[in-house]
Amino acid sequence: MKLITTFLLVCKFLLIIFLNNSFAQEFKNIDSLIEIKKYDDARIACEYLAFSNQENVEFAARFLLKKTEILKLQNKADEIPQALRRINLSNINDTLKSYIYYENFLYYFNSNNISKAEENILLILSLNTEKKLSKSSTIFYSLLLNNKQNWIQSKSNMLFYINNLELDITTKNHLIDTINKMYNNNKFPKIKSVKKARLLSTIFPGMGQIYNGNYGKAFMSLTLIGMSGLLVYYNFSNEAYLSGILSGNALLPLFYFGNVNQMRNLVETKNKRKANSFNNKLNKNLLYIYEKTKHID
Amino acid sequence: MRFFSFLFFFSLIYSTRGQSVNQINFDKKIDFLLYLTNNNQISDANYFVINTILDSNLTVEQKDTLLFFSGMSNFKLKDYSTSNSFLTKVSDKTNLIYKAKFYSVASLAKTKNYDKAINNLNDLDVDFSPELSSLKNFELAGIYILKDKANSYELLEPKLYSTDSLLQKEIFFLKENYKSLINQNKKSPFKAGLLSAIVPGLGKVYTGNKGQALSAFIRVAALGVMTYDSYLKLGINNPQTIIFGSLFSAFYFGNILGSALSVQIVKNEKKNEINHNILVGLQIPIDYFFE
Repeated sequence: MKLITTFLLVCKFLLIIFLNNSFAQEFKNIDSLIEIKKYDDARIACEYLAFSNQENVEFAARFLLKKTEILKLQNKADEIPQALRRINLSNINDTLKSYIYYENFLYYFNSNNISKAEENILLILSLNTEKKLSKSSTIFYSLLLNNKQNWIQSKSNMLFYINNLELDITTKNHLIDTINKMYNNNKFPKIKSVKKARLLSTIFPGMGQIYNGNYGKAFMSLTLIGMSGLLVYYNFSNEAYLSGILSGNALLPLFYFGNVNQMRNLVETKNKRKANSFNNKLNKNLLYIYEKTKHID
Repeated sequence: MRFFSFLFFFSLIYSTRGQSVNQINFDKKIDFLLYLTNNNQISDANYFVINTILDSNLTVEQKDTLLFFSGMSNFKLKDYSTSNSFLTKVSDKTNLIYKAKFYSVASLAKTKNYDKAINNLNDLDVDFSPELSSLKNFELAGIYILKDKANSYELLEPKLYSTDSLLQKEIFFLKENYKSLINQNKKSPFKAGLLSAIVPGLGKVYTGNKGQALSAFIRVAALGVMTYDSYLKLGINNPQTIIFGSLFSAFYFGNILGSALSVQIVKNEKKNEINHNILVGLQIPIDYFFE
């Protein structure tokens, strides 16, 4: 009797191992389908496994995550959020959750939806489970903050990243020095305000353009307004009051309000150009630091 | 004994775990398809159905169920060409065939395959049911209008009647739409140009653009006043008079030309609007009949 019970226990133990491994087998099958480029079949297999394991939320989530991988290979990134939204986040562990948030973040980052990307990255950082994931997401968070022109917070985020690394003091100090150099306050591009530029242009035509550095545009709006003023004066001095009033009514407001309204576009494009060229340099350095410190725990 | 029962249990688990999508039974396939469509994975669902139909183990009825289901779900998601490709494959042996045929015609009309839709409707034999044949005539008439076949429509118009109040209402709307299309086609570019020459902007009123008419009138009139004023005060040889005069004549003749051209543009706009109304109208009785 004892022999039989021990045998049964061993079998049970084997069965548990087998059950856990059987999903590994399923993942292997999907991988082999991907290898021979049968992406559609692999997607269906993922969906079917998620469907038949609906009670086991964690496995369903894993299969849906696998599906996003296939969607990326198929260049069907638009369908990724749809697949991820279906995962029931309430009953799964934090590691899996952070992977799901990471996939979400990558999708939103690539489709330039900055606010949603930031939301997901903050969720990963708050969970703080996988060291590798949280490291790369700290760097990504800095990139996002640079994009929002919030350089001071980005700098403190980078310093936090380096302080958490287990390095010897000299290299750490060297890295901190480079970050301080990169985020030098004097180097930040000077962002100009649209409101101020519009106000200046309203007070005197061309002044807002000069404030933004568009000297040619300033000269042009001044001459256009001056010429139409001269036309009105010429007509009035020759007693052609009707044509003076009508032409002045048509031309003067057109050029004056055009001069004010063009400021928003001019200031915004110039600000964007400045910030982008600064960020490009910054991001290159950030990625370089990440490449160097990637392997350190 | 226990050992054998355990072995049996073990093998049972093994057999269910190893199953792939192609080996499951039909009911579970339907469940899976419902799961996919409920979760909006329509491209996966379509791929699954296409692959399952190739499987020879299924009966014709089972295949028809799958085809009809995906055709309808694609139709609801407004992917009309895919919907049509599924619905045309449904065989004549099921009782769903008339529903499938009418929805296939609706999806062909929505993808502007009017010739095919007309052929499909003419091939459809529904003489046994007066309701279905009046529906068929209604659909044919609508598609004739969409295809600009006025003669065929007028031949069919006396046959358009129904005992059903909803279909009768839709037939009435179709006839009204046809009338307004004919009225719009009667307007001539020459008349619009002539009216614009007499009073600037009047041609635009004739074609139906009242907002544009006012702005055109103000522009031309202001330039006219400015030219006349400069001519009186500064003389004919003054450069300002010449510039204002040439601007005035350019706007005046441009307005005449614009009115004449806008007749065709307004016609096209109106036609698109009516075509849209007809397309929406074509689907309403189908939804109602096969509910």
